[in-house]
Amino acid sequence: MTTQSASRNIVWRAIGIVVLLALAIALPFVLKSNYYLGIAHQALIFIILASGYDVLLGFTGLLSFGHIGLFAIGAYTSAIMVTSTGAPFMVGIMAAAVLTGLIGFLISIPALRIKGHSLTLLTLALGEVIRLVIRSMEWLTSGSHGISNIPRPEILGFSFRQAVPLYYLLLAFAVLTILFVWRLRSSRFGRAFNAIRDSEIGADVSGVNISAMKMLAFAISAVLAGIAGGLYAHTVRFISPEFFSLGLTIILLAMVLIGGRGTIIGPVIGAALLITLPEALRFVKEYYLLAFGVAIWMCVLLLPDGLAGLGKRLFKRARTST
Amino acid sequence: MDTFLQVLIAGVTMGCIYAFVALGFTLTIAAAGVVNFSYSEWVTYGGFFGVTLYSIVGLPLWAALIGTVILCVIMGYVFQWVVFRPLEGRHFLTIVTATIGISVSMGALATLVWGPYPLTLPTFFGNGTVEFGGISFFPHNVLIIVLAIALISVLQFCLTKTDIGLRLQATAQDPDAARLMGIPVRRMRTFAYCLSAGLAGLSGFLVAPLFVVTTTMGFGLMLKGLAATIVGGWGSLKGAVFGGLIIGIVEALGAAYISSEYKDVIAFLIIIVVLLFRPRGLFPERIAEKL
Amino acid sequence: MSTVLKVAGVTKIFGGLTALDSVSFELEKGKVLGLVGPNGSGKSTLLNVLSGVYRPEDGSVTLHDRNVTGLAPYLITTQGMARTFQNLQLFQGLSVGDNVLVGRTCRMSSTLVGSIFGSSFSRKEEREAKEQARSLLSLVGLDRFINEPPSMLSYGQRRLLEIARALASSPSVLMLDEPCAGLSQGEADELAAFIRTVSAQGTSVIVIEHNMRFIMGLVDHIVALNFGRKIAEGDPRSIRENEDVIAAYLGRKKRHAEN
Repeated sequence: MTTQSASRNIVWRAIGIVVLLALAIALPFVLKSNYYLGIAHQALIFIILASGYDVLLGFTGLLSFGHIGLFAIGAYTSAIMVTSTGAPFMVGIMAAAVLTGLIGFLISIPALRIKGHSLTLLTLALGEVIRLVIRSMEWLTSGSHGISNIPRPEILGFSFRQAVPLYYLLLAFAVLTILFVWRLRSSRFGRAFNAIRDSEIGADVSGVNISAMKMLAFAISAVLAGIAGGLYAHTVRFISPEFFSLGLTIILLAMVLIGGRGTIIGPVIGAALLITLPEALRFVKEYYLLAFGVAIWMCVLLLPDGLAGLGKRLFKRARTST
Repeated sequence: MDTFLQVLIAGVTMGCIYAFVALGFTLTIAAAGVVNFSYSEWVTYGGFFGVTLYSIVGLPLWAALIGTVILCVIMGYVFQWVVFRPLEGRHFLTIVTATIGISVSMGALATLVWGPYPLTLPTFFGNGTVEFGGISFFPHNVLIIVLAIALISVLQFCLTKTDIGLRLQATAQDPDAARLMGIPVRRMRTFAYCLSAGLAGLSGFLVAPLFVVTTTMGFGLMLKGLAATIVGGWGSLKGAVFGGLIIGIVEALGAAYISSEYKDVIAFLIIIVVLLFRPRGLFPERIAEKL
Repeated sequence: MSTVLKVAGVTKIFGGLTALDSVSFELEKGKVLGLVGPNGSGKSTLLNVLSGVYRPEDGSVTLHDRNVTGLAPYLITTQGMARTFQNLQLFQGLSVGDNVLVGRTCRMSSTLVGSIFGSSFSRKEEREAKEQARSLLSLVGLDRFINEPPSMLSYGQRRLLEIARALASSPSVLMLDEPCAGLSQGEADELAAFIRTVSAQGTSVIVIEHNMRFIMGLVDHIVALNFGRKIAEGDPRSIRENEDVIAAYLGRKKRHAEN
């Protein structure tokens, strides 16, 4: 009985994934204007960023407020590499991934010793220091003027200048990220992350090397932040320190929490929703923010598992009532 | 030497403001275990209430100050019932995220009500400086320092010598035991929220003439207040005061003698260094362990 | 019989208070050892030292002739000593099956890249781990809950799940901290039968338990502690008749009963 319903769940899930993917592939045929495609680009980049953030927050239970700092480092690394040395796009992205991965790993070393609010405030401070240092290092980053005219991606001579090819490139990156996170979660590493989140002492005596796993979680989510940052720089073509503020950290946190932390689909829903909604509700901007804040508060209190958890519950209820 | 003293006065002034913010922030942590990330907006609202009462209603400045504090206390009272009570006893992540949400909403509401343009509030003494013993300073700075000394002394006396203060401390240290002792824990927490909000109003009002009143005014102050609570010791009232002063003075000295460009980095570097080498701050409190 | 675990002169001091005072004992392969003593006698402290949660001030713990004193908990588990907790430490966000699989982590060696791309080695390792988890769960009668969260289980079932998780690391020594707390007499009897099966397969077991009927019927050997000192050691019968033990433990209990 259990295995039967489990296999039926898998069928439903497969149908859902195929439908979502088909919608994502078909989207450029519906969205003709570059403006709408630009929003879709942003959504895809934030899906990568939020999925990586969820490895830290949802899988491992570590609340970092410095993640946008890593995103910024990724964006600046790739932008500087490509604009000042003329390196190819993929080299820039790889450099961004390696550098942020390294920094994520370094951050994790002190983070192993401290927990709870101290970790959150430490990462908050680190994120702000990264942003302020980027603003002050004018010789490298041109300070608060930002870096403009970053070229659109080009891979082996194929240009992604146009909005539609760029959309598919970002979609490919997003799908690869989701696949990666999905494989990660069902591996021994993903289980160890979850175990640390639920009971650190329990994980420890079960034979999980907590320090190594936390470092790995920090490094993985940092690499994904770096890749997302690089993609952001080459998509928007202009970056400045002001964009990578604590406000963006809050939005990232809200994406994961409203979508549903610890799930694969949650950050995807959250990122897509929180990028498109403010654009759709542009004409009521302040009212949107007013509702957005209250929505975060209510979501945390009433939907601890986010929209993904709510969907799961509704799905279960519909199934049991029939 | 004279410039050093001037820098020091400026540092102590900001330190007093940071101490107020850190105190208000710490009060709800200590009394109810609620880390209130919307505290930045409470401070901002303090500034806006002040501007409204003075410039629009036309009250005299001193009446506007009292009115601001009263309005903020009422706000704290209402908010604790609607917003914060459901959060008490929840996980740190839940509390932080929920209060961040409230902060976003309050910020948006402030923009709707008072508009996106900066507003100003005058000082009690005009804009001139006063010369004294070869150094020149703003009388408003002295007012802030004097008020801080007076207020913190009164608070210190109330918390350690009076009935209500001792009850508040008992609530902070062990709410269950306090409840068994017949202390009205709920009322003590209400008191802490109101006091916290009153301090926010006072900070917002006092800091307004130094800068301008904008919707983001409180945010920077809260970050400094956070730094102060880390340096002083999470959940410690004494730590909040000294932490605030340390941050203010170090920041002023750093800006004057090292680099004004990296001024904002200093507070964050202090957070990082303290967390790495003295994670429980300079004045760790027992109550901090509950968090 | 071969000695699996050798504890020699273990001493643990908390801020000037001696919680364990030079405790020594040995455990043979496939035997069940009971740790008894009144509250605060140092039983749980001893278990925490053995499992690496606490680091002892003095003494040594030797497992299969390897010194494991003061190692981190996960390393001690990797060396072959697994434990359960009196207040359960299950992973609420993982399914029952995955809870057991976490216990297998230290026996798995597939790399991150191998796991992500599904190398043949990692797939084989994962398959074997899942088979082992399933058979462990059916051994404790929980296999039908394999995809459910632990919150679906009764209190007694959760205790069994934690034992299954500990067994997933294929330990040579299994340590149980008050496994009967919160169980009915019937459930306790089932648990005793299960522990006997485990020990018959060659795993040595250390049990802390207050339920005397459970202990006396189950264990081969008893170590009695009081105020951090070993006051007696022997088979259940001799411990029951030992005057020091009666004075320290049973005697005190009797006095409690009279009050």
